[in-house]
Amino acid sequence: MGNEILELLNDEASVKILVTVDEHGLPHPAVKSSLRYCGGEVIYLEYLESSRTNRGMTRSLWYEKDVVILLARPGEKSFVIVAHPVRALVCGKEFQRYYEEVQRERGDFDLAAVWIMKPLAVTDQSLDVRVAEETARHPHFMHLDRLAKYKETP
Amino acid sequence: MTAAVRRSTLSFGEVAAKYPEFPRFVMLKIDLHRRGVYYTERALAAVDPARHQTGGTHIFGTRDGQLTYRPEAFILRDGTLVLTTPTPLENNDPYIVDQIGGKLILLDKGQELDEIFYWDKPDYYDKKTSRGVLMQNVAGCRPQRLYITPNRFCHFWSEKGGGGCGFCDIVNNLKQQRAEIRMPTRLDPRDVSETVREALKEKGRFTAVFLTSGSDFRGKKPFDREVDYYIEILKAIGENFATEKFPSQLLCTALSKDQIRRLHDETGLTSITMDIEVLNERLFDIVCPGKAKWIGYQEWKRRMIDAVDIFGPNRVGTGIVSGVELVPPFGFPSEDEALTAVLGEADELAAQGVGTVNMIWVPRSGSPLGRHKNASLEYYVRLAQGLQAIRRKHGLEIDFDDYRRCGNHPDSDLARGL
Ligand code: SF4
Repeated sequence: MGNEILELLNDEASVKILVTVDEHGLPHPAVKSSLRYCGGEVIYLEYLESSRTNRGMTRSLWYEKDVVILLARPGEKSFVIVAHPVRALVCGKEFQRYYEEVQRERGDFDLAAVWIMKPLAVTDQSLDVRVAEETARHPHFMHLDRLAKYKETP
Repeated sequence: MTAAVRRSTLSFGEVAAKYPEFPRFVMLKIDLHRRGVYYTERALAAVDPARHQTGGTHIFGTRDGQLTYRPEAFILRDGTLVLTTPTPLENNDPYIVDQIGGKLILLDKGQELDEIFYWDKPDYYDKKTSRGVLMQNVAGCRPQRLYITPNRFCHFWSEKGGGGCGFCDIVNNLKQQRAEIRMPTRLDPRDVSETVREALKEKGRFTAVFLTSGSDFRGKKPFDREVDYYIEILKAIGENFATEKFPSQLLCTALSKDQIRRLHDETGLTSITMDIEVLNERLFDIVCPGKAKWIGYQEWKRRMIDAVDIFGPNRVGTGIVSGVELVPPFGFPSEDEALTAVLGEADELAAQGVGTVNMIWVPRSGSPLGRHKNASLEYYVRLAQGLQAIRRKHGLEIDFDDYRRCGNHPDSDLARGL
């Protein structure tokens, strides 16, 4: 399933937005550069214990809800990844390895949790791809002037 | 003849269906604490003593009376800690931990529930201090908390003490620990300082220092000895920090305002907890006769509120051993009545800045109330929900005693998501 797209999570040129939902049902999008893809799993390093995303991730795991990652690329390319949180690493040797990595990269910095997610679906949301899809599947969804034989030139 | 306590009889599935907003992980933890856990031979074979933390150093004993060498406890997929001790199969219908397909799996009545994970052992655990004391006997730990017990003897059990708490087996446990693992009764501050120094070398391991002891009413004023000793130990710990204060929690007797001020002003301590154990004056007098004799229920509450003036809100707590309030013949006749009473008093305390957390009472064989039953799953779910709702209502936070720094309170586990 879209592995080459999931790999784009590891590309620095990607803008990655993680969307969770709070207890009132309000979506909470946040740019998360720490998102990555590794060994078939999507990994997210959460730096702040009290962040809204961390609470949202906790609730997703508790109530078995999926989260959404929007992956934006240069040149109007974008992809949506639906993922399911399966584990929160908050302690132990594996957690500590990530903690040390964060410290190496950011200096004196903390790590609250390592979220492990299973990717469920990847959708190409790029404008050119979506236009082609809509034109093919929904021929009624367009303005007629675009099809007019005799067009006024502006 | 005593009338039976009116308890909920709902099964796990029925409680889960009735309270869909209550997280399953936390509900499972509650039930694991209630009923206990049994490790199969295969699950025990998966314990790697070089990698996993095994039990034995805890201040209270185990459910089956055996101290060592089994997994200290385990963790669920969401990071929820389960702190229960092994329980004999024939007692209390425990959950089972087995090793299946190379994974540790939790089972109930033959049904596979979820994967669990043993705790990793900290690097300092098998090292010794310069005086030759095994560091794990100086500081035990939870996954992210250093757990220091400076004094394992509680003087409420002594002749003048008035009587230890009915659910407590500290003295019997200490006897066993001294015999089996050479556990010191009192710690030397030098050993504590060296152990903390060693523990802090491990990056990303600990987020809090926790101290607790048996009560010691001796001294010029009652409990001065306890306070002097805590200050000495806290200063020894503080030697290892670059900052004046360090994230920490002291669980102690309800001390006088002067004593609390000394702890705050003379050490790096950042929070204080004084477990009242039972939120009802009549039951407190019965279940905690030593506390009642030396301090008294109303005074205990006043002192906790005084502590808020010193440590500030969100830094003062109290704990209850939930379930003892239902023990016949003296307990509440029904779970509904117990909940109304307990939550009512917790609400009053929260309004004055004191947060209440609950521990699931584990009847231990070495304690006076050890042959009684704890409460129903539904009771504990409602209690946890109620305590968290009270904190939210009063804008209280429980950071120093939450799912990660402690992990022994289902209600404060909820704070990370509700
Ligand atoms: S105060 Fe009560 S619970 Fe604490 S150690 Fe003494 S007897 Fe046990």
